[in-house]
Amino acid sequence: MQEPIIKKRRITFLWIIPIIALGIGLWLAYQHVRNTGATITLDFRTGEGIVANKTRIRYKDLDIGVVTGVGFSEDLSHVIVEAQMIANATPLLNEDSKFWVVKPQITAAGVSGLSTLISGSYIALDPGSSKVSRRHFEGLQQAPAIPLSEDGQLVHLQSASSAGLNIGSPVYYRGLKVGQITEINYQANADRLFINAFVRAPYDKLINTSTKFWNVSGVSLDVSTNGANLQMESIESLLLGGITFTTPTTFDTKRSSSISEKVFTLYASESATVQPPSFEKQYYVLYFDDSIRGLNNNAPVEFNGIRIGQVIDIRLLYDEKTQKAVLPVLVEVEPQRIDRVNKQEGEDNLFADLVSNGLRASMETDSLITGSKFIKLSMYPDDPGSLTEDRYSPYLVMPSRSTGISRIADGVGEIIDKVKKLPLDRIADEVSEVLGEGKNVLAGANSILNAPNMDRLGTDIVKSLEEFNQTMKSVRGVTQNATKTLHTLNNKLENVITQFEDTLYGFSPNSSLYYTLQETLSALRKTADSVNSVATKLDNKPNALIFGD
Amino acid sequence: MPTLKNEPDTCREYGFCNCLECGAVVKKDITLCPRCHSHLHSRKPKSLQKSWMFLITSIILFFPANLLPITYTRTIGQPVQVDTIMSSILFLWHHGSYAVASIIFVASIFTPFFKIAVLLYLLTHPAPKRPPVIQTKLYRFIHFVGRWSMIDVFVVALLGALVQNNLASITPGAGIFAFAAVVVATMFATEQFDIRILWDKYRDYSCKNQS
Repeated sequence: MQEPIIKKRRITFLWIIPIIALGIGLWLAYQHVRNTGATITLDFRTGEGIVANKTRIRYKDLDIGVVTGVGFSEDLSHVIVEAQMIANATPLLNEDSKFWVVKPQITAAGVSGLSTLISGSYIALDPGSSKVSRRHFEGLQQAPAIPLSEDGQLVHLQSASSAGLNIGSPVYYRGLKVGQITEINYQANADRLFINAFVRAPYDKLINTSTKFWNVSGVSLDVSTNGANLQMESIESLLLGGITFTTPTTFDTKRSSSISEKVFTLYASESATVQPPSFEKQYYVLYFDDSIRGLNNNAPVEFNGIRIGQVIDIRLLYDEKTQKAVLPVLVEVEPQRIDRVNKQEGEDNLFADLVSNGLRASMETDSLITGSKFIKLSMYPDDPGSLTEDRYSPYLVMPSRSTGISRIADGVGEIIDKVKKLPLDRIADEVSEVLGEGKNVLAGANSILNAPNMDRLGTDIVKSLEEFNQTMKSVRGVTQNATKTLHTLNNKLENVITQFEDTLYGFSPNSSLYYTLQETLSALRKTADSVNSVATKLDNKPNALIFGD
Repeated sequence: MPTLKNEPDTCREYGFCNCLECGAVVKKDITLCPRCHSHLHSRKPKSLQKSWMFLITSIILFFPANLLPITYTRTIGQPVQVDTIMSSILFLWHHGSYAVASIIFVASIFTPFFKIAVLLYLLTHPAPKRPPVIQTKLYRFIHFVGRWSMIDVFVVALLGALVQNNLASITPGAGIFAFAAVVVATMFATEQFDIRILWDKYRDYSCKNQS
């Protein structure tokens, strides 16, 4: 019997099978991991059109991911979309990548997203240029108007109104479409609109800090003595609105600052661009003692002739406590209209500063024909004041001065006071005293003439004449005093008349006030004339006070 | 059980062995079966080692089988639907096919798992202190049930072959190959395992205790 040769192998070669299985398993796992990209989450305001496991994420019209779940955020305020990306898509997921839901859109600017009518909406991706990877994104409400990859400059504009403008409205330069509006936001705290516009390269080089932007939406029609001027940028701008810009050569010290941070003003029209922009507004209350007839809302507030604001509200209040009617006038001033140079640190309120240096508001007549009034701000350096809290409103009160008429009234009152204070009694007393002395002298002369001893007559006469001379001297002193007083009076009156005349220019000749004032003026003139004649007479003939003409 | 120390009890102890191929009982001292000319072994050679080997293979493949997609379903106007075994079971369950879902669950998830678990138990407890009756019954059960696990593979193969047109198409995924490999590996592991080893060990143990 042949002994079989048995190979003594402890371990069977078949152990290679589990090793192969392990290899295959690891390879499959590796494949799976390699093909599976990142899981991302997106925040959207609504989940419209997004379906889990159906909605895809596309880039350049190719699927790069699929939505795996749609759910609410914890506070139910927005929708969180989870998506599984493919491995190749990982470099597209960075800090400034933008996601938005593509839906069919038909606007004046064009039709887009028609394919989504059949396939359902999808989420589009615009990758940013950032190198910082990210897995959580805020979804956009609508597609960004400008792909991030496009070269150009985003400019920030602020405007009081977005009339005619919309997202997608074009930006023109010399009639050429060079960009479009990408975003319009309202900011409640500043009560204005912030508009972002994208200007494509190479036109972005045309913008610097002195560039002026204005709205060319719709049609503008100017009718003036030169005829009518109708302006319209293009039919497209008529439908879509639009803005345009120009870069004038100006003296601008801030040209070096970056335009990406500057907020430009969007003017309503080209003609408005010459006005300095003004958005910061301050409100002050003014109180005037006299009637504010002729002062209306929107009446200008001028600082030495330059308009810096307007009247925005006039009220009539009756204070039951003090039993007085008060007329607060609320004005709005734009401090940016005053260019501040050599600015000092710590000066935060221009008007507080100005008022403490004597700024006063007064009400002046603007138009002779309509009798309308305006608020005049002027500096009176000898009269420093301060802003005070208003009793009836949260605003500050700017000190005011009385207007022309009341200043005249004040002046007249002053004259009357002066006239009242004239020492007429004393003059009369002195005159009668002098007269009494004169009588005594005459009596003395009489007695001398009647005296039997005429020898003493000569010396007595001499004595009497000396006494008389003295008397005359004192009379002259008195008259000189009187003349001086009358001269001052005359000057005062002349001032009043001049002021009156100044004021009268402001009154329409037909008004009753004008007539009354005219009368007053002529009466004053008469008074002045008579005072003048008295003064002249006294000058020429001082003893006329005693002896008459 | 009437087992005595020095009395022969098994075929091997009587000096015989049966051919593993044709079942002929022959004298132990010859190496080739006189009937079918195959090598004669009293017990399956390297039984435990081979069983372990296939068991480990099946355990390794069990993960890709359940994690990787088994089908890719393409329907017009829809994104590709990717299904794993578990997701298709859940899909059926959510659509009301409870019976079908249960069958596939039992055949495709429970059975391979149960087989692997039983084999692990048998291989890690080779020296029973009591007669290994339950172990034998479990072994016979998994030996019987093994082939039925292929139901999922058949379904995918049929669907993949039948649903191939412009409106819809089903393509098998890597998972189904891994799954088939798991089933095959567990069947081999079961096949390689020799339940008589447990009885031998039990006999050795009880003889030792009696002496």
